Amino acid sequence: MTVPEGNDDALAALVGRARERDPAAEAELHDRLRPFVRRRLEEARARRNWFWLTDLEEATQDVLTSFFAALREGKFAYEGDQRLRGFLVRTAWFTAMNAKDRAARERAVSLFDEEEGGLRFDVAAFAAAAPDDLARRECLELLARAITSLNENRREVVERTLLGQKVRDIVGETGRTSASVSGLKFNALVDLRRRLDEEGFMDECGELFGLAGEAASRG
Amino acid sequence: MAEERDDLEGLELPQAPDPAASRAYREAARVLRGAAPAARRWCPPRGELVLAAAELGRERAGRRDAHVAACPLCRDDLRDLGALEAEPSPSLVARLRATLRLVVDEAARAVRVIDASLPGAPAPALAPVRGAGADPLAVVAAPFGDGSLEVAWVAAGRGADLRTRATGGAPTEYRVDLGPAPPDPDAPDAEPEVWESRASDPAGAVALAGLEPGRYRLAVYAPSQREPALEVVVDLARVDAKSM
Repeated sequence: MTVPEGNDDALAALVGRARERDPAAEAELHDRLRPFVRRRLEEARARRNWFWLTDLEEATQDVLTSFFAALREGKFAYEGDQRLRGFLVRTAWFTAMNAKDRAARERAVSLFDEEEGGLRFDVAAFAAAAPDDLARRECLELLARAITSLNENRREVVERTLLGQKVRDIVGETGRTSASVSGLKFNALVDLRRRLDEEGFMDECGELFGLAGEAASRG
Repeated sequence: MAEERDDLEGLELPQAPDPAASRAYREAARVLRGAAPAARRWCPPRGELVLAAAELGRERAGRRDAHVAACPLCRDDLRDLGALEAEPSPSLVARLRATLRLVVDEAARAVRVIDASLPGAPAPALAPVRGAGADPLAVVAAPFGDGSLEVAWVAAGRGADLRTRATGGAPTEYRVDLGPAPPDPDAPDAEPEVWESRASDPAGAVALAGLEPGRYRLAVYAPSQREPALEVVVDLARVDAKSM
């Protein structure tokens, strides 16, 4: 039996039977939802250039697996087609973001924001907006102060490093030579280390960043 | 630690730095790694990014919003969500592949369809157009968006002119790429060669003139699509009076 489009009661009944693990209902619901999920992933992948989402079919299946798990665990209750689609979109988002996280190690974040234009990373604002843990936020703010006290060139290379850019990435984006960026980065980080001491960062926050004890007291 | 060794190995320095400076460098590098947005240590859980302020509480929502404004990675995530939430382009047949064999009858100044494979499309129609100066043409149509894309071939000398036209509810904005056909139609090139790329005019039409006999790949892209909605491998042959 195929649930006609737009027949909300029939769809509700189908979801209900699937929640009770009726195999036929699960299969029918799966086939009903799959094109929607796949289409959304496909379009979003194209719009956002999700080069890291290499297997669309696998991603679609992951979304549906998560959906059915949520259905069985009572984390989703049918309240209309609109809500069902919204839940599927959110689930697709989490699935896609997990794939993005796995690929993140290979990527640096570009400083240039295609949609907003211009450089988009403000380390001070980032530090000020750190989460609720006051100690951690203060540590980030100390770091931000140390970074912003650097001269312009050193500050830029530190911010780029903070965003995961390697020397070759910085070379590509700034037009400097590799030797120039290397020297700048080395001097910038040595300078930063000194300023972190001056800000009291090493004493207050060294442990949080794995620099407790010997390193923290050395200065 | 491997990461610490890599920190200095990636640098092109004129001479080895002294140990104290090296140590300072490594310690600063470690701090930056820990503080990096990419480490996501400072980002709220993703679920929190999408909660309404009422669900999160005003103060927490305020901090969440401030973080999003400052964090390029969280903003990136939310744009990804926006792309998923957006209604798709008018329903397109994803990567509809077709083959088309045509022959140009030079003597008759006509193009004929020998064989066409367009799953789900209406049967190919020969639609001779009678009018001042119009040549008989061969037309096939394929589903495209909410309508169809007509692909018409008009005899032109030894070869043919190609015209595409969006009809019905098909998007009038699209792009046509023309290039050599892949050697194996069942294993198309990962990055096919493109000889000509044309955008449709405001009326939803594209014209490519003077195609010599040969094998072509015709790909049609809708707006914002990186994959073609329609791919046709065209085998254009020529028949002249002698061969007939």
